[in-house]
This record gives sequence, C-alpha cells and structure tokens, in this order.
Amino acid sequence: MAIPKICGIETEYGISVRGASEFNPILTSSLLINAYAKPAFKRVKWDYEEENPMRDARGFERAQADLIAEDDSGLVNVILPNGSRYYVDHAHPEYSSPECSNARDLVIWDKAGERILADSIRAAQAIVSEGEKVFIYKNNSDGKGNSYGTHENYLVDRQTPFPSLVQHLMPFFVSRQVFTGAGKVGGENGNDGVEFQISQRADFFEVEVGLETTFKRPIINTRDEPHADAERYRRLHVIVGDANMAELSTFLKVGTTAVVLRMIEDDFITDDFSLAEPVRSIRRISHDPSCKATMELDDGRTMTAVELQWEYLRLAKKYAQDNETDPVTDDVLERWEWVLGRLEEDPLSLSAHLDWPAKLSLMEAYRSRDGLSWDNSKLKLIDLQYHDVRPEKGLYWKLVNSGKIETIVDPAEIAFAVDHPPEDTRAYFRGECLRRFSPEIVAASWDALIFDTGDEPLRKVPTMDPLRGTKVHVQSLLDASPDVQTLLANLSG
Amino acid sequence: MADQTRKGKPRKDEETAEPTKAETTEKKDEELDDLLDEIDEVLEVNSEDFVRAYIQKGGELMIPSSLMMQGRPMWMSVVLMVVGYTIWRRQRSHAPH
Repeated sequence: MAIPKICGIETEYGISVRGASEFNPILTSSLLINAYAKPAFKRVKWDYEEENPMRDARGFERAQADLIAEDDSGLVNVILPNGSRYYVDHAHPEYSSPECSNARDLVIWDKAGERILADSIRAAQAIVSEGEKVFIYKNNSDGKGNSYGTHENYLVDRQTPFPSLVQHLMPFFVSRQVFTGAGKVGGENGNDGVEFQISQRADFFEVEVGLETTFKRPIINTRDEPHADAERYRRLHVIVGDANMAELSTFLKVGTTAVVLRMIEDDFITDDFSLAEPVRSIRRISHDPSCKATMELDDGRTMTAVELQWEYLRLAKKYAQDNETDPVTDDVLERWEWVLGRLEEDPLSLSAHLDWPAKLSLMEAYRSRDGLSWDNSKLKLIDLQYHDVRPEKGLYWKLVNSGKIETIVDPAEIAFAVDHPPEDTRAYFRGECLRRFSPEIVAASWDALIFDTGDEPLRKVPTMDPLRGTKVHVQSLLDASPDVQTLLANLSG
Repeated sequence: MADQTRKGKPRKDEETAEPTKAETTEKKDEELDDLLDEIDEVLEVNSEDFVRAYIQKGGELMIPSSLMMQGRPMWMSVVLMVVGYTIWRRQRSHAPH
C-alpha cells in the first residue's frame, strides 16, 4: 500500500544587485534574509545534528548543549512560522517549503515563498546603499552556463526498491518537461544552435543516476537523507525540475510525480518504458518546442514525450480506478489529460496555463512585432524578467494581472501561507511552536525542535514522522500549553 | 487582481464553445499587442547590459583567489585546491542542497 506523498520544493533563487561597485551574492543573500526575518525567528538556529531514528514523535530525549550545532558556515539560516526554511545556500537565497500533503498545498506554499522573497527585497532595499537595487529571480539559469536548482522532495516507502524507482521515473522525468518546463532562450553547456527550449535545466544533466547536484548532474539523484525515520522512509530528492511561476505547471509537476510514485510503491507499473539514451533524450525533448521529437526506448519503440506521458496517464487512471483516491489526485488526472491533449494539438494553445508556452508566445509576439532574431538581448531579458519575483516588475505577474495566465489557487490562500504552516503534516507543529514559543526554541530542523526552558537541560522534541504533529494531533495540546514547560510536560505525558 | 484571474478547471463545454482558430488568432494578436505595450513599460532598460551583468556563480565550484597561483609553485596551488575542495565538500554535506 502506497504511503502518503508528503512533498516539498526547495528553490535557490537567482540574485543580483545593480548600482553597486561590487556585488557579493553571499552577503547580499544574508542581508536579504536578515532584513526579512523578525528578530524572534532569527535567533533560532538550524539544527544540523543527525539524529537516530525515533519512532515516537512525541517522545523525548535529553539533549546536551553541544547538540546545538552552530551554523558552521556562519551563514544566515532561519525557520519561518510557516514551517519553511529560509537560508543562504552557496551564493543564493533558498526557500525550502514546509512539508505539504498534496500538490495543491505545495503550489500555495511554493507561491508563498515568492512573496517572502519579494517582501525581502522591499525590506533589504531600505538597508542597502543608495542607488543599489536588489533583483531576485525564480529561475534556474543565468544563460551563461551557470545553473541553480529547484528540488522537489517526496516521501517514499523505504521498502520500495531504488532500481524500481529508477526504472519507472527515468522515462517519466525525461518526458514530463513538456508541461513542467519553464522555457529558456538558447542552449547552454555545449548545446549550441538552440533558439528556444522547453526546460531551463535539461542542458545541465549529464548522467542518468548519481549523487551530485551541482556538477555531473544526474536525472535521478541518489541522495539518501530522509530527514525522517530512515527505516520507514526515503526522501526522494528530485533535481531535474524547473522553477515554475505558473501554478498549473507546479501543480502538475508535483501531482503527476506523486501519482507515479504511488504506482511504483504499489508495484502497479508492469510496462517498461526504459529509454535507450535518457541524457540525450532529455535534451532532445527540451530542444523541440513543437513536442514532436521522439525518443528511442530500450525495446526499440520510438515515442514522443507526449506519447510517453499518455502511457503514464493511462496507467494512473487505471490505478485511480482500482485504488482509493482523493479530490486533488482526481483534479491532477483531469488536468493532466487536458494538457496532454492540447500539447498534442498545439503546445502554444497552453500559453495561458503553463510556463514555457506562455514565455514562448510572449517572445514570438515580440519577434513578430519588432522583428527580433533569437539572439536579441531583449528576448533574453524577457526570459529573465519573466521570473522576477516582484509583482510590479515580473512579466509572469504582468501576464497574470492581464488575465493572460490562469491561476488555480486563491491569492488569499497564498497570503495566509506566508505566516502559517500547512495543517496536515509535521510542519504544523514546527510552525506553530515557532509562532508561539520562539523565545524558548534554540534550534530547529526538519526532524526536531530543541527547547530551552531556562531551568533544565535543553530538551529535544524529535519529529521523525512527517505525518505526525498535524493540527489534528497537536492543536488541542498546543492550546492547552500557555508556556513551554507545560507543552513539554504535556508532550511527555 | 483576483477578479481578473481565471479560476477553476478547464471545462469541456468551454472548449467546444471556443471560436474558430482564425478568430482566436486574430483576437490573441490584438491582445498581445496591448500586452507588449504594457510590458515595454516595465522591461529593464538597456537589455544588453542588463542581461550581460546577470551572472550566477553560486552553484559552481568557486576557487578563492587566495588559492590561485600568486607566485607559488604549481604543485602548491594544486594541493591547496584539493584541500579547499575537500573542505567545500564537507561543508556541503552539512547543508542539504
């Protein structure tokens, strides 16, 4: 029986400063996060300590002072009351969403991340020197061969054999870009002669399976760091996706992947779509916005990405008939089918729904009005500015506000998600504790909170099960705890 | 913003009610022209400089300038780079990426 697909998205945002004599991306990222985070949340450290698997999320263990790891890199690293992590990763500000239980929620908390970044710019702008301007982009490439990641995470049953994940995910990941791609002008990493391509990231994948994330990037990443009970869970770390602005792109990216993972866990997929050359195929598909490019399968068949996606959809629909499903999954299946139909007919007919067709349509309009060739810098600027997180400057927002791109969640839900955690994962416990007891929390991580009650040793509350610590589990307990001492007593009671 | 936002699922009846392809294209062209004018107003000025200046080295292995040659024998630079790389790898292993 497949386990719930708890999921999250980590986004490294592109950062730049204009009008400065020199620009240090690490310092600026730190400044950005510092400017945003309220002092109460800033002093809570990120706990890097690796923990032993603990089955009882409500259990306790005594924590020594030395368990609270200083952020040895000295970089800013905060936990926000919506349960997310906001920190400097290498030279980028990174927003790691809280754990969500479904694709729709993840769209909301991913979008909340964009708002947090946009708010951060406003806050930082008040601090930087006069004449300096901070720019933040939710994309994956600077167009000069440097890529930064948007990583999805899914909770997967530890019992599912990894080779089976590789077998069924590889063709799925190579082909899903036809609806998850964010679009890009030109080719990178040795892919010359490309005018416009579907994905921001495809050019950067060089191997099929591997551990790296910043060079020799693999289509399937093998990082095994569950941030949860390792005996029961695996965290599938997906590095092959693009940063999406369009809500439907994120919704389908996460929703379809979650369904496929459930099918793999239940050993439901008996077909074998293994590709003869996944790395070549992922680029080939990306380089063809007509969506007609074909891939060769191991068994000699050739298929387009859309045809391959139809196969996965066919299986998913059958799976949904045979198994208990939920409204979000039903919605995913319906929209997946609708999108594939349109991709087959005319991909640009999705310009009001998905990122890459939206971007390409806009560029084609500019090309025909101004007679621009594909190497014109204005198109590259449009490519970049589409991802600007500021609603007044970002071209994605321009399209949304002119009714040219559909949104699928209510803006009020996104606004709420900036300061509130999802209610049906452990992020609820983390976020609510942050909101209520931040002065007494010395450190936190995905799988633990460490409290300092003042008169006792530090107390660590492990949260090893992403499915526990939900509103249903802990709200009454939190409400009955006016202070941390009571909370800890209630937890152990 | 909210009232301009199209919500809900794409419905089959909407699809069948759509105008012909030629009409759609014409309407889209007009709308896009208006949109382009709007976008022209917010596009950053001097696109060439703006695009050229946008460089992100963060995801790549950076070699601090203190580890570069600077009069040292070549082997010393290589050793320093290997040490630097090892430290970088260890730091990375602490920071989930």
